[in-house]
Amino acid sequence: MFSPDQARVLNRLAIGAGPAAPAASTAAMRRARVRGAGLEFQEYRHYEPGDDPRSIDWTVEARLRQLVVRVAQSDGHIRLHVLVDASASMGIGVPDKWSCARSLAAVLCYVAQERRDTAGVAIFDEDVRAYAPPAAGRPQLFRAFGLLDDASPSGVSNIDRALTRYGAAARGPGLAVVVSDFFSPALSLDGLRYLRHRGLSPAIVQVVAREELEPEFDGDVELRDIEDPAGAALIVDERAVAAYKARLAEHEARLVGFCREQAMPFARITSDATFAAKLAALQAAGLISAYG
Amino acid sequence: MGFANPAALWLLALALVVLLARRRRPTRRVAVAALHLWDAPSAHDTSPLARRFRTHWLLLLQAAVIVAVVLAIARPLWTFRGGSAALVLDTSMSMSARAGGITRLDTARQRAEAWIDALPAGMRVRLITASPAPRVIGEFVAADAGLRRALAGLRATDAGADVGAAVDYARAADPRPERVLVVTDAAAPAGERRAEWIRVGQPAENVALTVLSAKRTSTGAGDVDVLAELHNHGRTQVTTTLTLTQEGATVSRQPVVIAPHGRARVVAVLHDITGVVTAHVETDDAIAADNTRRTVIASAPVTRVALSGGSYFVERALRSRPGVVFAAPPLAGAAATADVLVCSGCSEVPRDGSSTGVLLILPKPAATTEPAAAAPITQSSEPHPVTRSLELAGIAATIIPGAFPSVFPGANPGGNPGTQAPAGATIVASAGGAPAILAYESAGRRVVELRVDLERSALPLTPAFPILIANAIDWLASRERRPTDYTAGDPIVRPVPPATADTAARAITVTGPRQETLATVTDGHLVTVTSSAAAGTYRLRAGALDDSFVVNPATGGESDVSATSSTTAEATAGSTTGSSPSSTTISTSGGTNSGGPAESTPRRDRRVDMAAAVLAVALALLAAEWRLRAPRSGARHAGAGGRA
Repeated sequence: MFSPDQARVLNRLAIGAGPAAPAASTAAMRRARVRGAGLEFQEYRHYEPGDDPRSIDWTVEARLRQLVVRVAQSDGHIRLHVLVDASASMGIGVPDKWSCARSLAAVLCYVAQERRDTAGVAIFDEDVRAYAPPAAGRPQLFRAFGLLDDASPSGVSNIDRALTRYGAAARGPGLAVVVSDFFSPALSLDGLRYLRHRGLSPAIVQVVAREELEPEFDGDVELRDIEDPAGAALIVDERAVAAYKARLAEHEARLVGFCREQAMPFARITSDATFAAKLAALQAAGLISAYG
Repeated sequence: MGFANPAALWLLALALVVLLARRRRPTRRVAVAALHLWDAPSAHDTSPLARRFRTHWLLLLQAAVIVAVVLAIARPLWTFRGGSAALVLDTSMSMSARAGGITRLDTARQRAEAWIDALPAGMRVRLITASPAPRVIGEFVAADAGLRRALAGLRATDAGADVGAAVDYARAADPRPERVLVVTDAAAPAGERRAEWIRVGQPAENVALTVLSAKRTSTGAGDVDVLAELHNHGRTQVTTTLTLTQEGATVSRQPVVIAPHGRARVVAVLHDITGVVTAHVETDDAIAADNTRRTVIASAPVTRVALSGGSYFVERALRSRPGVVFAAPPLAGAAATADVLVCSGCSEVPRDGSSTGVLLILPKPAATTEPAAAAPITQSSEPHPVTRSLELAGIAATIIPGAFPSVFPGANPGGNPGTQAPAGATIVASAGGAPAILAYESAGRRVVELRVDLERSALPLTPAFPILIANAIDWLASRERRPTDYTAGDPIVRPVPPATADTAARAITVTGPRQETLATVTDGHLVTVTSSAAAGTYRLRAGALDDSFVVNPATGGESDVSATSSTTAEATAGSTTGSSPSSTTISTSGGTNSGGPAESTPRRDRRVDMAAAVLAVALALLAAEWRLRAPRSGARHAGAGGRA
């Protein structure tokens, strides 16, 4: 999946901890946002019945005659859910968007595995087509890679429905990275809201093809929806490109605005982006970061 | 429906330009993920069939615009038709008479075209020629150039014409023609009111070869007497030369002087000559076709006779007949070996199928049978080739009782067996009330049936018997069915060997004077040539048979072209409505008709130039095409008129 050089780069990365809530049940190498059984002091607070007596700071009690307990920052793992859109529209572009999405999903899984986080992969189009629940370890990584290799772009896309179905089966905390082109005609983004409702922290990685950003027409071109080949065709010429770009910008603005409003990480990557450009985009969105 | 400018229809090929341009630059097809970002899809375009249809209809609209414009340029003319007419044109030999450098047929053609020009353009005209028999050349619209071409293609025949029959034929058409025009050089019959009659032709000087016959002399030295008769239909004496040729070689050449309106006969004696002899008179007269005549000098006639059963008296009688050659009796299914089969002691006509005729001598009665008494022969008063120069009265003959050919079962049922005769048979002679000699045809073969007991009758001992046998042999050999000279237009019916006629008609070929193969109709052992309008040498081939005969011009009534007045021809015109005939003067040099019903007939058709209407349609189509082709915000659904 990766060359040795790429693997060396990935080995120095970790899944960004920003919005994600690590599981507090197991010890890990990262600092979690929640308080827990970590070694690093976070704060004092007044003792309450039920607190572990071992956490009482007797020095403070001796000085102030008050029972206070030491609260430490918890260390934990991130549960990473990578949801990859494998609908037919992902087959567009040179190279196609599916190749790029698969590469991004593999990067995230690999980095998570290297940092002992749990990672799972779901392939969806209008529904969840294949699913590997988050787990740790190298076998899980190979399962995720196998799932990505076996999938190919086909079917009709329905992101909201697929995310809703996935959220019904999985719950947080965890980081849910949705990799798609987000070109579904009736996209309401309710699926992302439902993931958040289920305790997951959604993040959006939009993959677009260069041809979709800068279409070049010479004369009349007959456009057909790749996910509806029997549907009505559309004849356009170069004069229609400007209107298309305007609508595309409007669509992007809506998507970005939603992410900003929901404090969701957002990254847009073109399908012809280099490996380094992909990592840079993920890093800029806070999905990965340098480790150590 | 016609076009004022039909040449413009070639521009219809421009419609292909649209298709070719479309083919040269096909629309690129691109699959996209976000079609909704280009335009909002419409639900009614989801039907693949409707989409396929609509994908191409803008292209069809463009082609329709081009077609409509081209049609407008071609100026379509819609004609409301009016009635039908018939044009009967005389194409007999006399119509080939030339005077002033133009033939009567040319003049007739001009008159006919003038008549057609005056007809309503939508009227249908049936063109009929009258020589030798009425024949429909075709039916055309008066404005059709094909009618003029058909007229120009007409040629005069070497035969006569029955114009009256042609008029009857023309009027018998369904629907009945409103007008019938006859253009001929013959005068209209008195009281002719069925047709408009135009008579053409100037009187002309003409010499015709009216007779050419050849006959072998009785000297036996192979000499042939050839008689030629020439007729001068002119007013001046003609001095000319008669040339006899055979296969291109001149065999006789004699000067001839023919008095005005007189005849001259020339006799030439030729030696050792056989085949077609052509006589030609060298003169520059009105009709060239009747200056040549042909005849066939046949070799000495030979009749092949096959004897079956043997009869002393018959054999002796046959040996006394010159030209009789004995042949072997035919085998069943074998090819023709004899012209006549003499079957002695046969109770039925042999089915060998090879002989033309059969002389059937019935078998003698059994020895135990009481012989009938001899009775005097009564000869039929009805003339028959078998009884030619025959006198049988008073000769006694004994009839063979009760034996009749089985080929006529049931004939004359219930009657006295001794008086039975086949249906259709001719009783040439009878004795004691019973048929003694019968002649009839059976399955296309001639049969002479001899019911006389030759051994108990005096008939074989009389001089009449060899004459009877000779006549019977000649009739059975069908010699009279093989004339060598025909007149153009006469039906040609010739016998062929039965085996050939029965097996395959395709084996029979008749070639005409120009070596063209002519259509034939075969009925049994007779073949009929359907076309004999051209004079010349014809050849019939049927198996081993190779028969040549000649067709000569119909000089009787056709060669005399001096009947009309010196400078003009009288024409009688009438109408089908019963108007009084009017007289008009027609000049063969193209003079005008002083008046006739054709020109006075009002036009009943109406021509409408549809160019403006078609152009309006073209503009409407163009507007629709422009409206559909104009981009709306740069994008459109193919189903809504987009080009594909």
